[in-house]
Amino acid sequence: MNLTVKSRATIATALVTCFAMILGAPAFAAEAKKVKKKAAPAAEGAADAADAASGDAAATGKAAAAAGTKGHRAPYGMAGCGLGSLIIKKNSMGPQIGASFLNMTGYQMFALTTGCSNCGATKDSVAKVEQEVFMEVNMASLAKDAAQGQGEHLSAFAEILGCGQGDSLILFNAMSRSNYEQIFQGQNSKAVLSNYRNVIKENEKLAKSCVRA
Amino acid sequence: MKLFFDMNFRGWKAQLHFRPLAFVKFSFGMSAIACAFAFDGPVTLADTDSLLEMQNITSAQNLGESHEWQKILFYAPDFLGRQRSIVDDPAFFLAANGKTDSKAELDATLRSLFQPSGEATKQNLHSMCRFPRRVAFLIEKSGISRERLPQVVCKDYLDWLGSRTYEGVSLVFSSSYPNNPSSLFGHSFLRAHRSLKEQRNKLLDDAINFMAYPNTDNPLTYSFRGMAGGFPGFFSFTPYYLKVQEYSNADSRDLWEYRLDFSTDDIRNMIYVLWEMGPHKIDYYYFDENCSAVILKFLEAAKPSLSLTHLQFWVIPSDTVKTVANVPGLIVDVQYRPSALTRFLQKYRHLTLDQQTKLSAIVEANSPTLVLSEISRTSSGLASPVDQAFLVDAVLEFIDFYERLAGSNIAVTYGALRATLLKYRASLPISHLQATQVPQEERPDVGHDSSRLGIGAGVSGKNEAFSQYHWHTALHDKMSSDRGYSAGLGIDFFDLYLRYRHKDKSLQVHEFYPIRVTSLPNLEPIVKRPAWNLSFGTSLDDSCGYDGGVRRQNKRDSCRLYTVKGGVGLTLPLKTINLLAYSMVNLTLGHNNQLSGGIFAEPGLESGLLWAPIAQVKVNASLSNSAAFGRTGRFRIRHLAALAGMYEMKKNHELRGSAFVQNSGYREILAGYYFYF
Repeated sequence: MNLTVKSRATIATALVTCFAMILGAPAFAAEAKKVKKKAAPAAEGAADAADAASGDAAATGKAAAAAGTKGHRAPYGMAGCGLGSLIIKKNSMGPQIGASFLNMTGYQMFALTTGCSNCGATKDSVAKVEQEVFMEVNMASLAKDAAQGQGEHLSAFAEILGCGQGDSLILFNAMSRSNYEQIFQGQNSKAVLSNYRNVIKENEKLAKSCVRA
Repeated sequence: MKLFFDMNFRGWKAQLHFRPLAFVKFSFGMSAIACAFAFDGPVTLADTDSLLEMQNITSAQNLGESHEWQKILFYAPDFLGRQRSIVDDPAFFLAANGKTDSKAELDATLRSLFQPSGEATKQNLHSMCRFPRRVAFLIEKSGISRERLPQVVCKDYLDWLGSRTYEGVSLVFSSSYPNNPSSLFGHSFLRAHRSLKEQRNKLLDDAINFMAYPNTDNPLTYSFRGMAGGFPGFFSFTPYYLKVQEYSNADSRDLWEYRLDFSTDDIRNMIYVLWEMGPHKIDYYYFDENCSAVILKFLEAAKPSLSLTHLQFWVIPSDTVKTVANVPGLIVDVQYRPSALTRFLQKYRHLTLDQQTKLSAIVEANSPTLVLSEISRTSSGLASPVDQAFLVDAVLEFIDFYERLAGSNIAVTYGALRATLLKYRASLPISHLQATQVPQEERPDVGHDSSRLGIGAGVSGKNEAFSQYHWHTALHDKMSSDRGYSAGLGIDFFDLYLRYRHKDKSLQVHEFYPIRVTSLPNLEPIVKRPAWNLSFGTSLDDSCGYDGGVRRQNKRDSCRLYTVKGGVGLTLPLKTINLLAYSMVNLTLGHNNQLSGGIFAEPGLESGLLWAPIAQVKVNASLSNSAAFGRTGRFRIRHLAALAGMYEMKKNHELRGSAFVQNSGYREILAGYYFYF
């Protein structure tokens, strides 16, 4: 039960973090309010990340503004500066499922928007948020790929970190496996991400090739 | 919380007023973006000459009533055959009667495009920004160059799209998911490819999805409103990896990706449609305005030369794939993404018998302390690192499937075991990636069509001849050919059998089942997927008169039953000869019009063998035993032995025959021809 509560809090945190990146989540304004209410206990944790994320992207602040303005509905357009809306379903059907993502269901849903993909080769705040979201959404799969030393999720993560293809991907894969224990300590996706960044920094070649880490 | 958002709000204002750099960056970004409809130029006034010219051209071509324009407005015939838009948000239309009058909507759109664009902050709300798909269409058809339209900066659009570009689009079909009734028929959505190059990671592509946003938790109102259009449906735009986590991992549904022959312009138009539809709702109807129907309309709006939809009262997701496959040349590539269950089974089947036994033992014991010694040893000594890696990977896939592990969730039952195995796996110097085998026989576009008609003739009871007429809306039953379908899942939807009895010249509804589902998973026992069935409907039981126990009020042989039936059980597959043994415990509750008091309960046991010696042939032998109890106690014990066969002459054409006999002496034999369409 504890785990379920924990993973819910983690997801709520990610939701709020990502929510700060919304441009004008028009269709999902109603769900956005739910996020605010439901995610209250996790809000403090998320605020830091959201602040970091607000950086210099003008859109970010505007998103928060849109969400903060009561009843605001943008007149048109899709949500998000790119990745769109993430719907997470809280699952109450079985004890072994903390949360799962589902289509048409009658359960509580959340909408949020995440950062941009293809955000360019910089270590900017948008890239950081994108990495956090990727880690939160893919950590179980990523851990398996890392332990096996290759896989689609691992390649995707390398691409998000800007690590490049070819030899640097091979090096990234090998490094992920040899440092598996150090990286995948605990169950917090943010801590795992930060471990990952540290391991990359310690490796001279990767520190150079992973330009967005 | 409020404070948090307010702070950001102030931060944003500060940026607007005191940080010109942000704007420099923005303008630079915009000029670098190849965005066809927005230019960073001075605000122009409306150009009445261009407007007049465009109006003349469009009315000369009668563009306002053309199918292409109507597709862009999501027009579809209603049940009276009148063309109207399925979009239910008035804000999507510029003319007051734009939902029903596409010509008025075109006129209103043209006038609105030539409105002065106003000051920069309001340009975002200009129709040039709100309706880029319509703009692109009008430019293409009128031949008027874009430079002659108002020059507007569409900042929101540019912010939203960022620097992303797409080179391809795929229709994605997810196989059906028997554990959730709302996804019994599968689901379809789109994947926008960032690149067609193999080395670009597919997970980082984006998904376009249409779905209902239910606003109730009550399952009853949920089903009702789901069918009656009570929920708003919206498009969403998410990273593809989210969909992969959701479908492949959490729900264990295989994904089939059909890449479509869309040009760069078609893809750009598709993104325009997505933006244009943005927040506008389409009421979701489970049967016709569902994910599949709307996705097809969406593709038509992007590429109006396509004709994918026609008047019909239901659209099911596998039809989407078949519809697209039926357009010559539209599918350029088919990719397959195995679900968690398929990944496990592919790894499991690759193991030796010894390893399979070991896997079962490891899962059974669930002991993080003993597992490593179990893995590193074989009966004859030490296991090689390669063999160990194979086994560990298979166990890991089992755990992920069993736990429906997705996102950053933690395995609950096998959490410690998984952690131990992952660490150990990382210490094995083997980067092993088993190639995915694509189960071609399950490719959804090769399956038979969904609706079915049938005619047949037979003899029942005391040699009474009858003819039988059959119709069902969808989809597939356990006797249908499994090609293109998940083996073992039978779904009948609005299943009707009429019988004409020659002796008394009567035509009667022999069976009508709004829904009838049978799941007989043809999977290894370790997966522990139960067999189950659920149905409700009405049937005519011609054997009533053969059973002395029935308290009949008249002398007719048949009695009308209204029943709800459910059951669970086990299956045992014998893969080598394609045989499946099953057994289920059933309970039927119902009403019998010839029984005093009417209502009855009938527990029973049903067992059988389902055999597919070759792909075109199926044979089913079964035995049912049940006892029926009414208000006055037990009134019938029934034993029934049945044999059924199917021969698929070619896709969509089947011959079927069946025969059964009861302990009461009643028997029936029937043969027929079935046609899917």
